[in-house]
Amino acid sequence: MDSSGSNMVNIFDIYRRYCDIRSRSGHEGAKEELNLLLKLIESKRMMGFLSLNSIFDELHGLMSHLDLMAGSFQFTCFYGFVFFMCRENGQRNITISKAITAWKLVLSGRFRLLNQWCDFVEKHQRHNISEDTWPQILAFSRCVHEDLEGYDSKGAWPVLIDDFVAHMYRITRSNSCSSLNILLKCGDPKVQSCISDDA
Amino acid sequence: MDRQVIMLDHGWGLMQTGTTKLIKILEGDWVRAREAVIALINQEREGVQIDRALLKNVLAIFVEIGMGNMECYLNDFEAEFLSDTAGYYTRKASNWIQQDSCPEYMIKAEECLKREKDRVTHYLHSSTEEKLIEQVQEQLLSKVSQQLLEKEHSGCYALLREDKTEDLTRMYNLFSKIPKGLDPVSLMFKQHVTSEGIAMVNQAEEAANSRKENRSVSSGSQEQMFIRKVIDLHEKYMLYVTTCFAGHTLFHKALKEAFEVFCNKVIAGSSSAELLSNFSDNILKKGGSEKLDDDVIEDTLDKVVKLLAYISDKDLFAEFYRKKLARRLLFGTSANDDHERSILSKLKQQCGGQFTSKMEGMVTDLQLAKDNQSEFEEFQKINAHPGIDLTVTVLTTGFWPSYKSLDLNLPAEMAKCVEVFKEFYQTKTKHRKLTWQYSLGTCNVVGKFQKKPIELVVTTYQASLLLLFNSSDKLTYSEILSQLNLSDDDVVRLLHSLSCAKYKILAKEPNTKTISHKDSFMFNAEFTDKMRRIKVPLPPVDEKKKVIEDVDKDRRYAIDASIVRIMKSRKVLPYHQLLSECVEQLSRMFKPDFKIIKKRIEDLITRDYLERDKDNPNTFRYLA
Repeated sequence: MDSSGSNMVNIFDIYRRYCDIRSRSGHEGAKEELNLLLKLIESKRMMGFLSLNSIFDELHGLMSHLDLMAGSFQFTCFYGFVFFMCRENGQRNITISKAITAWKLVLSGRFRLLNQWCDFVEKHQRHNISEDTWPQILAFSRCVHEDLEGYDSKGAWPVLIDDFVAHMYRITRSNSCSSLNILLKCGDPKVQSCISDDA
Repeated sequence: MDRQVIMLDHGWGLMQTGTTKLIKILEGDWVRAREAVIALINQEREGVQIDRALLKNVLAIFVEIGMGNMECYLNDFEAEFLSDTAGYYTRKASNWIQQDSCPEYMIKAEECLKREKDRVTHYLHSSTEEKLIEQVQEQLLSKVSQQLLEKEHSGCYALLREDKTEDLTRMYNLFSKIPKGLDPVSLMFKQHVTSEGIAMVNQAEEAANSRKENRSVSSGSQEQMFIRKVIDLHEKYMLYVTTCFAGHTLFHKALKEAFEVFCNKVIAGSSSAELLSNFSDNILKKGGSEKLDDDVIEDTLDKVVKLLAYISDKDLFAEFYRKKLARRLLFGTSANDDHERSILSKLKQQCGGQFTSKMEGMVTDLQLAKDNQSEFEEFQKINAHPGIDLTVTVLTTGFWPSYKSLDLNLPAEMAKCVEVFKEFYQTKTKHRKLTWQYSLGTCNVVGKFQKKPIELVVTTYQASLLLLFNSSDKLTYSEILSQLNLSDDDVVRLLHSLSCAKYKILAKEPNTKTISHKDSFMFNAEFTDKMRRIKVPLPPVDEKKKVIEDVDKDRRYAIDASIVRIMKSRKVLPYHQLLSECVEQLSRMFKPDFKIIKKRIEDLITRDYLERDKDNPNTFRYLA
């Protein structure tokens, strides 16, 4: 539908296109367009570009060029884009190992429980991370505090997040207060200020 | 005429002045009169004989003076009287509560209330009754209710513990009249029943543990006892509810909630749903527990069904029950067809037609199978008879529990029978597919032992194994395995039942208690028994795990269906509302876990039935 598609090799172009589709509200069309974009990426991969092996280097490069304010639409869009780029063979979920690498890349300094979260997922999750769960984790990272305050146990969080919170409660309870202190130290003070800004 | 009018006016005037005068006269003594009346009443309360007629007259003046207006009686007498009464009974209450036990106190309170009512009928104005009684109840009951009910050695718990039904009835009667008076009583009742039930659970658990230590095999009977005890407990306290507590809804609710607590505990690894289905199996099968006559059985079945109401995993009960029912029907161990039908109709009444449809289908299948069998016998008379008598029970797949069907290599004799039946069935229907379940079959074979021939009642599997020895004297384990084409587990189980258990029809080399893959087997020609016909039991494999897995799978489907049904009609729904509607819809069958519902929602999202609202992640939308 668009001639520019054929010469789009570079991740910057794809990202621009992705954001463009996402920012237009029309839902039905957006889905279709994203699928087209995905097909395009697949065909590039067949030709040896945008290989999944080096995808994180590319994303890292892209990220360093973008001015991503935490909590901004741009950041949400980029977060979604990471998932989009990690998808394989048209699947709608991504593997645990990819997800963990991706979180460490994008959420570093933005999620105060990032290390605990990644450890937990690595040890306890068996299934891939779904398209629905992915954005929920960004939302969770934004609202939760290191003492787990801000998490509403009655909310519709994905089970993975519920399990993580239960797991954290177990740890903090068994290690009594000492581990809570460690948790507090994990939080980077710079990040805290930046998260509380967007609250 | 004129004079007459004046006269009348004058007369009226006179009367009015008369009363005002009387009021004036009384004014000074007004307070004194009132105090005298109250003092007299208090004397009577203490048991002194007083002049009731006098009091009645004096109080009548208070009323009359108002000339149709009660103000005088109300303000100048009643208000003061009521506050004095309050004071009187406050003092009484504080004394009695110290010195009396709860039943004694209640008797006194009851007596006081009766006397006060009596007082109203004799000399007080009838409008006072309600206020007076309210005041006495307030002082004697409401204000001390907690202290009274919680008396350690005689309070509500003690009365329940000691089965003081008369006192409990009195308690109900007294407290039912005061606002919210029954709340604490029903709460205590609930707690008492709960703790009795929990004690039973713990007792059963301990018994199971000690049995494990002693390694005695007589499991089951303890669990049977437990269900029996729960039934008795229910009967006992249901009687309390209907008699002592006059069938008040608060107490029905309390009983229900108490039973729901301990009826859903797991006892020695078994859910109560399983125990209850085992219990009913024991009643319904031949030679089950003790010999009971028909009325007792009917009554017990009634109680089983009642108890089921408290169990949240009704689907689990249904699955276990179906397994047991299948065994009873197929192995002919059901004691009485009427009882089978009766419990199904009771279950149907309580849990709905959907709950019992499969079970009813099973019973009907068996009825149809009998007709089918006689037709088959006719067919065999006309056509070729295969040489051995064969009975086939044709079952409808959906009604019965699922069994794994294995490709057992049938002995040639039996295979021939199967062919004849297939031929017969072809003549009846064209489009039905028969799947043979040899694992559920029974065979009667004759063993030609040296001393005497003995008829052996065995399963089809056992019989197939035995028939191998018609053509070989000695077979190794692996030969048997390959000739039968069964799994290792099954072959071990079969060989154990024939060579290591009570009846040693096969001799084993080496002669040990367990089956090893290196063993070999021979027909034990020296075997004999005092009976001419023996049943060689094959212990059934434990199906518990499979039943639970099946139920879990069914639950996932049920939750999916419920969510889709709800969302289809609502289109957009917040999470917590979806959750509560889903729980509500499914509560008749089981109590779904929140986490499982959440997982199902996530699954439905990935399958494009639902999506999360973009702006509000706590809301879901239905995708048509």
